Amino acid sequence: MSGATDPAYAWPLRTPHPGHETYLFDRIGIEGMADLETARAHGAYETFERVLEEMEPSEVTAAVKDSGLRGRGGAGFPCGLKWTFMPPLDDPRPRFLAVNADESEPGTCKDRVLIRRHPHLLLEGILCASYAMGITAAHIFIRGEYVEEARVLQRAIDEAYAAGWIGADIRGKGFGVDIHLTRGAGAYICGEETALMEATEGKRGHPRPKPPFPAAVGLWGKPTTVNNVETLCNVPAILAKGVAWYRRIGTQASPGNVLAGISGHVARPGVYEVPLGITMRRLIEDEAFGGGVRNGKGLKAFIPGGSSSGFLPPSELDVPLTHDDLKEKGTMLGTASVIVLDEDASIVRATRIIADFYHDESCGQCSQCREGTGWLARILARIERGAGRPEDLDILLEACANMKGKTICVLSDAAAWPVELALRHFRGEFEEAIDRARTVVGVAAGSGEGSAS
Amino acid sequence: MSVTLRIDGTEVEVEAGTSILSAARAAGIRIPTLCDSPRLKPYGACRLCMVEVEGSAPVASCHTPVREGMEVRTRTPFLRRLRRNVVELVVSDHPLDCLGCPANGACELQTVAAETGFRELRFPSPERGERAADASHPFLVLDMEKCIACARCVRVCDEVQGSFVLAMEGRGFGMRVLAGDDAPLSEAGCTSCGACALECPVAAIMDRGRIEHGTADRVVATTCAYCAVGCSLDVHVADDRVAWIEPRSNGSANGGHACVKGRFAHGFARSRDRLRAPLRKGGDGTFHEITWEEALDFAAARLTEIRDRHGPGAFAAISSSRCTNEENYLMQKFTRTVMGTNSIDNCSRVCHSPSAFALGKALGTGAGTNSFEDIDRTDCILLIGANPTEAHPVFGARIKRAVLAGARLLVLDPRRIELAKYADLHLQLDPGSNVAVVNALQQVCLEEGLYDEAFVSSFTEGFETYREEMASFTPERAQEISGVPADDIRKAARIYASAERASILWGLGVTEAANGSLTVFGLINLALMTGNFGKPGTGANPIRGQNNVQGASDVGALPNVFSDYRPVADAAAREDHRRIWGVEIPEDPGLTIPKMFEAALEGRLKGMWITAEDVAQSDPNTGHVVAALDSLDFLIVQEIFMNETAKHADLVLPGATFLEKDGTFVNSDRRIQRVRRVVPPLKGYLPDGDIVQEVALRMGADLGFGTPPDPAKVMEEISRLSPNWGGVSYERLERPGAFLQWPCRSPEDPGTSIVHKGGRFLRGKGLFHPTPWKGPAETPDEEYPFFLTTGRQLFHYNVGTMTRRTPVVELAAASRERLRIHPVDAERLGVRNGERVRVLSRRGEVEVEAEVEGSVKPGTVFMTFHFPETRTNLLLSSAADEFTGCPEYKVSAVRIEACARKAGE
Repeated sequence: MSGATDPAYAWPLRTPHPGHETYLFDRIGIEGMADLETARAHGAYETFERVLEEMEPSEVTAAVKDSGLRGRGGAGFPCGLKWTFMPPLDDPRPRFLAVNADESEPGTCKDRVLIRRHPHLLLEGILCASYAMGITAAHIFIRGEYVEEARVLQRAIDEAYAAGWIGADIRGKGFGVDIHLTRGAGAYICGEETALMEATEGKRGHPRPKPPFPAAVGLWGKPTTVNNVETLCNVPAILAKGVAWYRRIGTQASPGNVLAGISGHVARPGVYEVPLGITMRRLIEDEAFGGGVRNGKGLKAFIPGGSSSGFLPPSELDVPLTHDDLKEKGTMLGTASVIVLDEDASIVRATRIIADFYHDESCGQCSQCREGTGWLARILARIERGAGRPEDLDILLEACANMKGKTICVLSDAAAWPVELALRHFRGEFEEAIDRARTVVGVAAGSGEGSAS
Repeated sequence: MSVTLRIDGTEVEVEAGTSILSAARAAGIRIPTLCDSPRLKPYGACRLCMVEVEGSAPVASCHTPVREGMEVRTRTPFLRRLRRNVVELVVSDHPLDCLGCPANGACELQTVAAETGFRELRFPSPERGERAADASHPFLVLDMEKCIACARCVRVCDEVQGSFVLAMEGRGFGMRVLAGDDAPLSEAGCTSCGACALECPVAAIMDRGRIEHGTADRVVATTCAYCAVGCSLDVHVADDRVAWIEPRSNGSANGGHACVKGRFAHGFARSRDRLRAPLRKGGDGTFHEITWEEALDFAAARLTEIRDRHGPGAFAAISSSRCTNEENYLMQKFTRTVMGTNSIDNCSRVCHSPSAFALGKALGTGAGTNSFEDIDRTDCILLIGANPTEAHPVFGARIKRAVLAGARLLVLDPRRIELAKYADLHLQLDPGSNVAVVNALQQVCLEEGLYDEAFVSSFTEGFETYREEMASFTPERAQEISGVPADDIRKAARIYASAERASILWGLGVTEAANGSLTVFGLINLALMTGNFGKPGTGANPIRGQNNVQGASDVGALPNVFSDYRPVADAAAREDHRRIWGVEIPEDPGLTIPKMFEAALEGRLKGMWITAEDVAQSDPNTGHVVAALDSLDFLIVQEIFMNETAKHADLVLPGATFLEKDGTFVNSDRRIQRVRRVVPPLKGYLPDGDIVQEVALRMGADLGFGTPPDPAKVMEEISRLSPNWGGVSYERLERPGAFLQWPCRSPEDPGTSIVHKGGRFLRGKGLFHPTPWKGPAETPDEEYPFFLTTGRQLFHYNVGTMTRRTPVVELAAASRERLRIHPVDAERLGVRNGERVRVLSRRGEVEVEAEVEGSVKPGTVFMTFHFPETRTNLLLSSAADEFTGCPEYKVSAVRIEACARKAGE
């Protein structure tokens, strides 16, 4: 691997952050970390080996639970607690770990870096989790577009199998687990945990109604835990350095480091390992991170955690990067993927682009989402085009209200939030676009599309 | 465990795990839905069924289980707004051409739109009209412009039919249903069961019958007349014609499912070439129409003459397993009382007589022991010599569902049939070697102690002798005979014997062989030693071929027994009949079908009456059959079409189809169900039972049920003379969908789903029968180096009399006969796919198109017998089962020759 010269990784991947330890990206700069030999030379699987020798499965779960690790896939659910939902270890059924590597949220590419540069860290995390939960087989579902990552990861799996780190009776300790890799075929929805299981089973990626939850009825109907790549990569460090060490990083309710991606109109876009609780302002403006809005422009808005978390205005820049603080602002930490819009950007256009994305990616099961995402996209398109009508903003808000909390999965909600937030913080821009249309065209009804009623 | 909750203030008690939606339905509370169907798994997609639950956010009631003390509201202003919004969303992606839409009046989207107060569409709709309807299929039209993406069609295709032909494709507004690999439906591998159209809430997939007719004038519940699954059907009638047919949702045998034949292949009844008047053959050998009066007088006069001049032994009748119980009963009563002979038989002779024989000997009654439902409760299915997904499609789908839900499946068949692909093991044996493999299965169980000693000692007899005789039949020996690896036989035996509840199913691949009865005995032995009788999910069950082949035998259309299998040799049975019939019945059994033909050739048999049975095409060694028919003095053939047999008749009488008469059928699992007159008989023909009574009257006898005979009265007499039918009456069968499974001995008896309960065999104890190895009459040799085995295919039924007169033939798979031959053999013979070949046996030769494919094994070829232009049965041997005379259709030796190619080909 020659990551240093790879244009895709020309971004700074690791930035020293004074006073804070890194444990996710600490070794990714080392040439050849994707190779087992190099990885072993830098400590790969040592934690797992120690865990096998010294810890009971329940102790592993307890440590992860006590660490306060929260899922890094978007919802922020306490990881250890999720593990305890699995049936007791003496339940004779096979059980699975589904690893969510279907990283598709716009603005998000953190797991990609981990997989490509340090796949053995992920595998070690999977092994520790599997040991804790008595997993029969772990199934990694990787985004279809991650062609190179899938290749690297498969090679790492093969090497680890060959070296006896995966498979039956690992290190002669009586514990065994298989790890399989399944590639997606380009659908965002497969990142939803139940759709991911359907897709892993070889079916169309449709979310399943819940209940039953995966811990009861998961992959192939068997108990299953679904964890995100970054979440699992936290596990070895917690087990190696201890709960107390881990809890010193981040905040009380959101401990640990997080991989924050910064993209859009910033000087230094990239993926940074930062402690949870860092402010948005620091992340965007600090020379060590985003380096501020590029070309000296002013900031118009930022998305804090992936496209579905919506736009916040500059007045919210001091919000700390934690699950709860962002929730308070009506948004979420999500995948901690910040997208920055400078003063020249059009919120109307940006919102329409996001709406197009969700319309395109709606799996089509639930009425509200299948049709509602289309409505949002079409109405926003006509506003952007200069064919908006005064009642459109209210229709948008009503459509959003009807899309939230009423569907099988949260894609529908994710499509509604950014529209709602845009209208909450930037309503003036939308009104202006509609007014401009009325002045220019002179009639309320838009020409062309949109006269269906 | 039950749970109590309140729905709209009403207290409802349901099983734990029930969904709120089902609980509401049980309480008579309607919750609007679009994507839900009671027979499918919850899908949760339309979101119309959302309800308010106290203390939580609104939930979708279809997939939310009830909780103790739950307080549910299904009607609130909030929910009305929510549902109206859903309707508006769905309608925004649906054309608004309701008046001209074939679903108008029966559209579920219309219903929920009305229910929720949908008035206005405020949202831009996408462009329409880009997708042309798929009209490639003879029975179904797919119009994806109308699709509302509920996926019920896809789900029913997966969950009920197990065909996995349909899929959802695309997302958002672009979502649609895809057939196969984006193929026209007619080429997508669709089995044409029509379940998708039945599920469609709008008009996206629809029966042509519905599109062409609109709403029906009336709906009549009846029973399908194709195979012996006995599907309950709702026939929709418009203008006194069948408009379309749907499976009855409460049908006990089919549970709302049907196959291409029952659902769509009904057009034969109005076919132009249907016989409409009696035909008499003149001296020049041609037929001319005569009146019914003339025909009936003529029949009566000739039969009287034969009886009086040559004695009762000169007459024989073949009754029809396609006709009702009542008609069969009338025919056997006529034969026994008016003609004075027991020479009546039906086509079960040539299909499942070995099953009836062996089951009767070993267990005490000649019918299957368990019910279709038991397949849902079994852990292991041993399927031998049957291809249910084609020959009994509704039952085949049920087996598939059971296997997909985790039951193990062992398939023993010379061909890699569809179910073999679902099987744990497929033992691909040579035709004719069933006994060898079944013997070895028993030997493994005995050898390895895989039998239930307690059951054997308490409920069976003859075990020790049997055990000694079977000991030498090792899997290795079976491998030598059958070609099945010995290890596979061992594995299969262990899987079967270790299952908690195991079920054995067999078809004609077992019985239509020289060793048919032996194989059935072997299968019964296997079930006996493992205790697999008398409880749910177990048993030994023949899958009967024809709609009423069970019933025809049950009501006495057999030469050796009266109804309910009471032997004519039994003085008490004869006395019972004499008391009611008023005449003495001879105690000697009559002739079986093969013996009838022999007797005719020998000149002993002078007259025959054959009802709805094309023996000249469907019986083996048809050259022999035709010669026999031609040697008769007088032959009556009662038919709906001029067929091969009728051509040899002196008098042809046009009968009625199942759509035109009243009566009952008995299906494969002893289920007696009503057949109802759906449409009045067209001018020119009489129901078959009426004909028999009319002839009897003219011979000075009255069969005693009125003229025309009243089927309900016939059933009363059957019930009186048949202990196991003692509780059967039309009154109890009147409600649409009603059924009674015999034994049903009294009016209070609910009928018997599982016979021999608790090891109490009807015979007393279950009897083991040693089964010495006996091979088929013919095995391949130098001159005839191939095994030919025969069977059915999905789209046709038997000799195709009915199906070939329907648009089924428009489907490529159903258009013509093909000889299936393995690529290795084809290559050796220089035969290419699609080329014509000659198939020759010691009896005859036919020409047919070759299909080179891998479902047969090298050395075996396969043909169906659906196509009169390819008279497959000409080739077959006239060997027969030693106990029952059932012919060996399934094993013949043939030679294949490539037909000469034209130069340059």
